Order: sequence, then C-alpha cells, then structure tokens
Amino acid sequence: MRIGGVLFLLAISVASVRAASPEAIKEVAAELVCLCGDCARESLATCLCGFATQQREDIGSSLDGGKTAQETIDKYVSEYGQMVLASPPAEGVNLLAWITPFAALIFGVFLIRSILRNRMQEASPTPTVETAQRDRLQRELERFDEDD
Amino acid sequence: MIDFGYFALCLALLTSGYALLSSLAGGRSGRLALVRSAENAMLATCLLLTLAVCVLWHALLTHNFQVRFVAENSNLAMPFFYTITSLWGGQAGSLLFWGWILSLYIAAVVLVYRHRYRELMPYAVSVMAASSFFFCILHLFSADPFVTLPFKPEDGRGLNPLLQQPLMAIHPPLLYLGMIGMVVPFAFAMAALGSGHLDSTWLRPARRWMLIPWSFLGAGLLLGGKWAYVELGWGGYWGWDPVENSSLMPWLAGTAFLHSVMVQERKGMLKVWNMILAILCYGLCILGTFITRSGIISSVHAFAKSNIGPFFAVFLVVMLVASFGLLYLRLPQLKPENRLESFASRETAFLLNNWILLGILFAVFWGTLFPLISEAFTGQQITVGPPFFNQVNVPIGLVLILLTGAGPLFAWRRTSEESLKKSFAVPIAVGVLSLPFLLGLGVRDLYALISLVLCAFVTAAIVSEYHAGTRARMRSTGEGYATALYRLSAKNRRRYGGYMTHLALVLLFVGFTGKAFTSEVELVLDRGETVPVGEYELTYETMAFKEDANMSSTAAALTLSRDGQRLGTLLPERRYYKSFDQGTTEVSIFSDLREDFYLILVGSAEDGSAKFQVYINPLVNFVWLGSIVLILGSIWAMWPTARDRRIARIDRSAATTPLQPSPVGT
Repeated sequence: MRIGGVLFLLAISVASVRAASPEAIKEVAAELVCLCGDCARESLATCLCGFATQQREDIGSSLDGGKTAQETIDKYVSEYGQMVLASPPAEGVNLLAWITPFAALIFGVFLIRSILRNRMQEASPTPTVETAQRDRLQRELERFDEDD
Repeated sequence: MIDFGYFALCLALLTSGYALLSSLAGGRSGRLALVRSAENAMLATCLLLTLAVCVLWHALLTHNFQVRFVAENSNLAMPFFYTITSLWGGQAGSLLFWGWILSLYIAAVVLVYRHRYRELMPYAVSVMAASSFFFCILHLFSADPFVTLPFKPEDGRGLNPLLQQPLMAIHPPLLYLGMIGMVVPFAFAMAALGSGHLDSTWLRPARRWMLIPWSFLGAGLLLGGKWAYVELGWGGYWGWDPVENSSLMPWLAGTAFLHSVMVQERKGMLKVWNMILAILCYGLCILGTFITRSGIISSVHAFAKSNIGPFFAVFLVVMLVASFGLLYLRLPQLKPENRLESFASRETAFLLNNWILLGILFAVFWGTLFPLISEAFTGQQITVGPPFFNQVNVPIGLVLILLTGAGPLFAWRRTSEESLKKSFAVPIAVGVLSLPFLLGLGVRDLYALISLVLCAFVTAAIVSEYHAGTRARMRSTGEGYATALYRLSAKNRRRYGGYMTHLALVLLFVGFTGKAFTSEVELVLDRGETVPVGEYELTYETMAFKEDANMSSTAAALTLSRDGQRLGTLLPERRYYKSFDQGTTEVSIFSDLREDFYLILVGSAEDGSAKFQVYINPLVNFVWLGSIVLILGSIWAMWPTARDRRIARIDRSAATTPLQPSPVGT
C-alpha cells in the first residue's frame, strides 16, 4: 500500500468517452492485484498508484473493445501469471486453498462429537472429591463476595 | 555512551541465561536461594534492558547519526514525538523495544507473585528467561541497534512517512504488548507440565495474564485498522495482509483460551486442550514475528530484509518441539475429572465456541501460508488476497456471532428444554422481527441480512441476560434497577465484562456488515464546480501547494453539504516525502454515526481541474465504537474484585512470615 513516489501527482487525462462503466471496470479490477512492485499487491480496484490507474484504463479499453470481463482477466493472467489474480483460481492444487478451511471445520465437528460421546460414556460418573470440594468452595466464595 | 548500551545488552544476555538455568535447577532441587537469585537476575535483566533502551533513546534525541539505527530512522527535521517513537520504526530498535517489554512483563510477574504460585514460579521464570535470553542473542548477534558507522552523517534519513502519524506511533507498542505478554500464560502452562502440578492452579495466573495481552492485542489490531483507514487511502480498514493476519491469529487463539479455561475451572475438563491453546498463543506470536521480520511472504509491513528469519525459525521449532514433547509426556496425568452430563450444556457451547474460533484461525493461517504451499507444488507464484479471506471467513464469522448470542443462554451441566425455550424466546423473537424492519430499510444483500438479524438476536440475548440478573438481584436485595444492575456487574466482573465484549463484537459486526453497502465514485472537477454525490453536494473550491525541507504537499479544499446544509470543508491532500521518495495520501473524512464521506485527492491537471475518489462507507463508525466497548469490557473484566483484594491482603501478611521451601517437582 505504499504509494509509488515516482508518479506522485498524476497528470490526469480528461475523461475519455467510454462504453464500459466505471463499475464494470472496478469489478474486473477487484479480481486483480497491483503488480507495480511498490504496492505489495494491493487490490487493483483501490490502488492509487500510477501503474494501477493505467491498468484500469487498459481494462476499460479491453471492455470497450468487446472483450468480456473473463476474457480481460484471462489476458492479464497470460501476461503476468496467476500472481495477478487477487485470490487463487479454484482448480488444481489451488482448489486446496478453498476446500481445506471448510474441511477442517467439518473435521472439527466430528472431533467434538466424538469427544462429547466419550465424555458422556467413559469418564467417571461421579465428580471426584477434589472437584466436588472445589465446586462447594466456589459457591461459598461467591456467596462471600455477595455479602461483601 | 553508545558502548554503555552495548555493554548492558551483553550483561543482560548473561543475567537472563543465568536465570534460565538457576531457576530450573532451583525448581528441581527445591532450593529457594537458587529460585530467588534467578528472579533477581530477571529483575536485573529488566534494568539492563531499560538502560539499553534509554541509551538508544538518548542517541535518537541527541541526533547521534554515527549510530546507524539513528541515521536510518530519524533526522533533524522530525518533531520530538516522532523522534521518540522512531525507536520502534526500524528493525533493530523495534526488536530491542520488544525485548525490553518482554523483560518488563517478566519483572512484573516476578514482583506480583513473590509469595504466590511458588510451586510453579521456578519453572515459569525459567521459561520466560529463555525467551528473554533468545532476544538478547538477537540484539547482540543479528540486529544490533548500537552498530556505528565509520563516519558521522550530517543528517539522518528520517522515519518512514507512513509512520509519522499519531495512530501509527501507538499501534506497534500495543501490538507488542499484546504479542509478548502471551509468554506469561505459556510459561505457566509449561510450569504446570514441568513441575507436575497439573491441577487447575496454573489457570488462574494464566487467565489473568492472558486477559492483559489479549486486550492490548485487540486494541492494537483495531488501531491498526483505524490507521489504515485514515492513512492508506483505499477506503478500508482491514486488508488481510500477512502481517495483519499474523497478529489476528494469536488474538483468536487467546479468545479461545479465555473461554475454554472456564470449562476447566468449573468442570476439570479440557485440560490437554487448554495446554495446547496456551502453546498455540505464544507459538503464533513467534510465527507472526517470523513472518513479519523475515519477509518470507510479501507484505506491506515488511521490514528491511535481514538474516533474522532463521533465528526465529529455530526458536519457533525448539519452542514447539519442547512444549508439545513435555505435554505428550504428561498426557497420562491429564485425565478429565468430570463426565459430560448433557449435550445441551454450557460445556458444549464452549466447545463449539473453540471450534469456530479455531476454524477462523485455521482459515486465516491457511490463506496466509498457502502461497508457499502452492509454489512448492506448482512452481508458480500466486496471491491469496482479500477476496479469498472474505469469501471463506464471512460464513464462518456468521456462525461465530450466532454462537456469541446462543452460548451464554445454556446453563452449566445441563439445560432443560423448558429453560431453553424460556431463554431463547425473546432473542429469537427480536431477531425474527428485525427481518421485516431491515427489508423495509432496503437491505437486500443476503449476508448483510443474516448478519444484522443475528446481531439483533445477540443484542437481545445479552440485554435479557443483564435484565434477568438485575431482576433477580432486585428481588433478593430490594435495590433499585440501576443499583442492582451496577452491583450485579461489579460482583461478577468476569461474566459481565465478558458480556460487554460480546456486545462489542455485535457492534464490530454491524460495522463489518456496512462494507456490503459501500459505494464509490470517481470525479473530475473544475474549480468552483459543484456535483451531487448521493445525498451530498460537493464543491471544489481551490488547491494549495506548499513545500518544506521534509516534504511537498498538494491540498484541495472542497465544501460538502447535504440537503442544502453546509456540513464542512474537506481538505484531502497528497504529500511527497523527499528523503524517502515516497508519496502518502491524506484522506479527508466527514463522519457521522450512519456513514463516512471519505474523500481522496487522486491528482490534478494543468488546467486547474482535479481528480477525486469518493467512498461512502455506511456504518463504519460502529467498528470504532465496538473497539471502545471492547476495551471497556476487558478493563471491566480485569478490574480486581473484592476477592482479589482479599488475596492480595493475605499475600502481604504472608510476606512477613518465613517462606516455606517449594516442593520438589515431578
């Protein structure tokens, strides 16, 4: 998110006539990151550096030229590699990125279920003396606090 | 003068190394003299590191540019305040600062527990001393802040301009206080394992000393968000950057720990799990530091690349292997004391809470490290950015907020169907009734609807918890509503402080949900031109340019009004710092509780026209409001209770009686 100093104040061009709406451009840009090297891969939709501004113009031209959003993104990937995508494509090894967190959650559910089952069946049915005492102590201390 | 600092660091290496060994020996042999001398050695370490920090501060304030750190991170033009804060503006200084805070924590623990937890303290001190020892090694052999240059430059380079901002001056210390403090619960967990005192004694100091760094970490994270929001100029406050993630992870683990300790305290269950969480908290802090400092994953926060990565990697591996090894050896002695009586119980609710918190933690961890994994398999670099984290974490986050409301409605041991119906009736009714209301307001986004309905549900659940408690107290004491409410919360600080943080979470989620309604527009305006932006009218008045030795700046002045009423002048600005060849964006924000009008100056043209970027960010102020409530809730929970004060009194009287030697471990 450091802003490249070289193009600090951009001489802005008078807005050219475009068919593609700013929203459509941002939508494409949001799928991509800024690879100017200075901006630590900030979203191309929000990056303020000159490189990103130029890229958004390019996206606009591409859309104006009749390319779809997906074709425009594909063009960027072929040019810069997968790194330019803001999130990994859900295919091949990268599918793991998307699946694993949810797989872990589901695994967690089964783990908790088995823990709960075990705890209901196996552990000693009566509280040990120690915890029984501690429970009573706790209650008495709480009462003591109330009276304080 | 500088040599004093270096000499102090050398001595600190010796004293902390000595404390590490003698404390361990004292714990094993039960020789009190050894234990005491180790504790004193840690107090000495703290003094020595304080001296080293003061020496570096002195060098900064006297502009001793012969010292490389001073030359690289400060200059003559910098104001006093930022000269002070530049101590943590660069690698070596911030590590020294880190090591110093660590020593302060250790000294505080040593002083507070002079007469308590004697069976645990020798091991705890030893573990903490090991961390301190490690940092002294770093100061001396990897990131020496006192390295001098062969010549004395006229002026220094100065502090990174992005850090010359009040929020950024306090954000790092808060994060450090948060991350480092997690060494204390970790040390007590290890002390319980090492000494063989595996009952719940260690939980009390661990919980206390978790709450402190956890609060600092939360405040640090949120301040960091605020800083990003006002300083980075992209209209957001959280970018799922690797470094942000690496301080979020220990906070999530700490949150899980603060909840699951209650199950062990009450029921003697989850003993192994609590140990794992304590290890995880500190391990994630070390991992986070490793990620930040090594530059292994590209990040905005990356410090200058250095050889420090391997040091942290080794430290992390040693720490994990040693602590999990010790835990494995003690497993047979960590059996649960009670059986679970019912699925519908507070115990289960806490397990689910831990499940979802760890689920988020894992998703963040996985996304942060996935670029490394993917590259190893395919050889291709990829980016795992905000769209990934948002898509994965939003559904999990919604489950979290649901559980936040539902969990406290379950009773310990078992909850009867009848009482469940009773306690869920009102919150569910409020949640359901909020739906048509929200639809009436025009909310159509599915996630936003779910989130806001759940927020209504949770708020109702918390309010009815307060209300029920207050009513019960009024009946038994005859107090008025306000008095009863206050006394109730003051007598059960942990519980009601906890509810306050739950309420803070609701506010935060309302703020997060606002993200769904953000709108933006790019404008090119001539001087004097007025345009409507949503409900607002924006007039571009003028532009000013100024330049001084430090930077040059261009600022625009615009008038903002709504419904014909003037709201104020906005002054978005762009600065260019010469010594860093870096530009910064100073955004200008008009803010009310409903939304922010967020204005960025993008650029200007020869003919006097200028380009602006506007973001309208609804509900964002709920995030900052939630932050404040979160901090208040933590303070409320931490505040000493009557019982704490009694213990402290007993402690002081015990200090006058001769000490018993601590029992031999294992």
